[in-house]
Amino acid sequence: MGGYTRKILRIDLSADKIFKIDTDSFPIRDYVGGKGLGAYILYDEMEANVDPLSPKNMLMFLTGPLNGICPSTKMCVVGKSPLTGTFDDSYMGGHIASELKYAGYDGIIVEGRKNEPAYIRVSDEEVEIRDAKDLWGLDTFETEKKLTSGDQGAHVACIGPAGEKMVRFAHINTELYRQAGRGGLGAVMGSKNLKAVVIKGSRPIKVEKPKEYTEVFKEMVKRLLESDAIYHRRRWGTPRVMLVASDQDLLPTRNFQEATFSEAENLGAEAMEKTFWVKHKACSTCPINCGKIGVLRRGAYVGTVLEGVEFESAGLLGSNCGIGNLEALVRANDLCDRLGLDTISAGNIVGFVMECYERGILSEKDLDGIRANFGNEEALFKLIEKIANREEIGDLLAEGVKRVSEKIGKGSKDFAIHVKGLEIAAWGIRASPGMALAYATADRGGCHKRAWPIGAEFAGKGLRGEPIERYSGEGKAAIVKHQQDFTAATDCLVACDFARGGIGISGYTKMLNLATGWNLSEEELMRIGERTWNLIRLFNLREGFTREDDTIPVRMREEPLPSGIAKGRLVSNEMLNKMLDEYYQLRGWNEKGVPTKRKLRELGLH
Amino acid sequence: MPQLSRKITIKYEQCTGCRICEIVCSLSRSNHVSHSDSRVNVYSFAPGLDIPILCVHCDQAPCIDSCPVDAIRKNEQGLVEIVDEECTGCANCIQACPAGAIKMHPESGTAFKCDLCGGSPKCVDYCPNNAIDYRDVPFDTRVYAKKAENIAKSLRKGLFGLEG
Repeated sequence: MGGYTRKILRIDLSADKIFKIDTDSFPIRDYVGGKGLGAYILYDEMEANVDPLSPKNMLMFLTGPLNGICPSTKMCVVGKSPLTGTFDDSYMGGHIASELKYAGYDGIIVEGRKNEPAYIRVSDEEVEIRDAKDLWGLDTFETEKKLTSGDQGAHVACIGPAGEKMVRFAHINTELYRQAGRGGLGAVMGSKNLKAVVIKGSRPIKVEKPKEYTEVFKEMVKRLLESDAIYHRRRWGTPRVMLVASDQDLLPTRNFQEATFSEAENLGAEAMEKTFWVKHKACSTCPINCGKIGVLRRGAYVGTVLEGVEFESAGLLGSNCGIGNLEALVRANDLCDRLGLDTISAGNIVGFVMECYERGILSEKDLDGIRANFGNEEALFKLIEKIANREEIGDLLAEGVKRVSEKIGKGSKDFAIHVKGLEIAAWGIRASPGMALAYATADRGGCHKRAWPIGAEFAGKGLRGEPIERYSGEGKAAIVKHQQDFTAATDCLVACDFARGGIGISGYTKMLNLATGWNLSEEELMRIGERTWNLIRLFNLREGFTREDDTIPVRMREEPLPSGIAKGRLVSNEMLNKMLDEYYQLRGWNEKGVPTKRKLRELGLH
Repeated sequence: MPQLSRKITIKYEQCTGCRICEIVCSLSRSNHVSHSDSRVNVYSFAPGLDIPILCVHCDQAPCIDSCPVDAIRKNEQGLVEIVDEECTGCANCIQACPAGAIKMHPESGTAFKCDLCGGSPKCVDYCPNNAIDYRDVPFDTRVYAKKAENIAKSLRKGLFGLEG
């Protein structure tokens, strides 16, 4: 069976033990890899209500059978989120997943906790747990530099000070500028005293039918390069959508009070292309090269080099904090990358603090002398540093916007913009009922990547091509369900979302079968996605989540948009509930959002 | 000495580090995916620089002179070839190559490198940004026969203004 390396590393940090187990000992035909395999292991092996920052939580680095051999793949990191308490799967690009397979492993499962700072080094057969006392306290750039010095070809995933201090939205960083950002799996790494994982491999990845596989591989690369949508991504990366988001009233602005930003142009792809970018950058085996590396050529932060600024980071650290200056945005992003913070959660929380400050809920004194008005660049930088180091007010803010708003009260819960504790990403809600449902039902909380029905809403086409209205709730549940299942299926392959449209379920099925020698149908691959989605639902229900948690922030339901083309719009409780009822029904879940026995039997989950 | 009519040229600043060249090279030559036995390799350097290295078939190729058993020869088209059956695995050529484009094969223990896929290099066909090209150029392409770390050093300064 090609595609897989057929070995998984299992490392118990408490017992200082390393095991090499057969990938086949897990039901890979039912879950494939990545998200599915992670869901299976976490549900099967971890008891309910484990403290995510305790040694009992698991942290997994998982690949799929197409990593390293198919255009555009990522590394899937799985654990229980310290931010939300849900299942969490977060993805990072770069080359580390391919490298793990070159080293001969489909994944690494980490359990327990080391007493002293440590890192794991994998080099083909050789796997060691090494001392990391010298690395503790270093930022992610310094850590990676130290660990790759004199070791060309080694790939690193590491945490910064934020992960060490268990900031609940700390990221895991790789190749300086790519992160498994969402849900705080960097804090889980920190809780295990695990500073880094270093991987170097020299072995081949086999495919079952190399001749045919090579032809399909080439066809997929060509298909991606011929697409117009991919041309946009290749040239302008994610910030291409900055102006679209602002024009369409979807861009978080001043803590989501508004959804259109007068200075959006300064933060978009055109500005970055003209003044900042130097070259394109791709992940392993990816012809899309959405990454753009730039350098600041003037101003206070001259010489700062950064890959980005990605749209999500620009939306949250920029417009959401009222900041329309590209240099300041680059600086803020650079700080988050180095210190180890998820840019989305960080920008969301700083926006929240700025609104609290302007409303008089948090004073200059509460904020240790920071005047946190919207647009204040220095305040943004200082708050990021304080959060990452858990200094003074930063210690509270490091808990995430849900916990912060519960602590400070005074009505701030209504404008704490999260779902299930995960700070919402840079796609507003009130001008997109579909997106409201997507956020409400995403498995890890306020995530924009499980379904993105905004495209269908713009096109005015439902799942079967029927006409739909952008601002209506009709027909949105079917789109969201379908996209979630497709995303889950391709997340089991750990395929990047940017190539998914171009390759499609047919392309992935073809490559999967030629690599493994299986004979899976497209329907079966989609079914693997649906099975995974349902299993994660069971996990989250076991953790105590209910229908009441499948919601969106109060602001989105009660405060109409004050400006822009969707002025006056919101997604009311009534609209949300109606979409949710329909969604549960399509999923085969009861009205409380619990999968029915029949559905579970159908998916082989009973 | 015969010279190739078409030669490999490299635009380093256009390499994105995707390594599709390594994949198509190893797939088409070894029937699996591997950077170890790919004949082209991409080396990465902070911040985000990627340097493709492959044999550019120098007009005056130092590897030829370094081989104690004359297993490296220029054919009539100007292609620098290692005759696998004659290679003793002494690694002199690996030391002699100014680019580091010759490697020891992990299984056979003999030296191997790019042979331009017999005149139609796959890495060139599939490079999404034409960073590796194969053209009729009128000069000795030994300008591309440099060590990756030295190329990276000059790019760090040229592209980003960074020293060291």
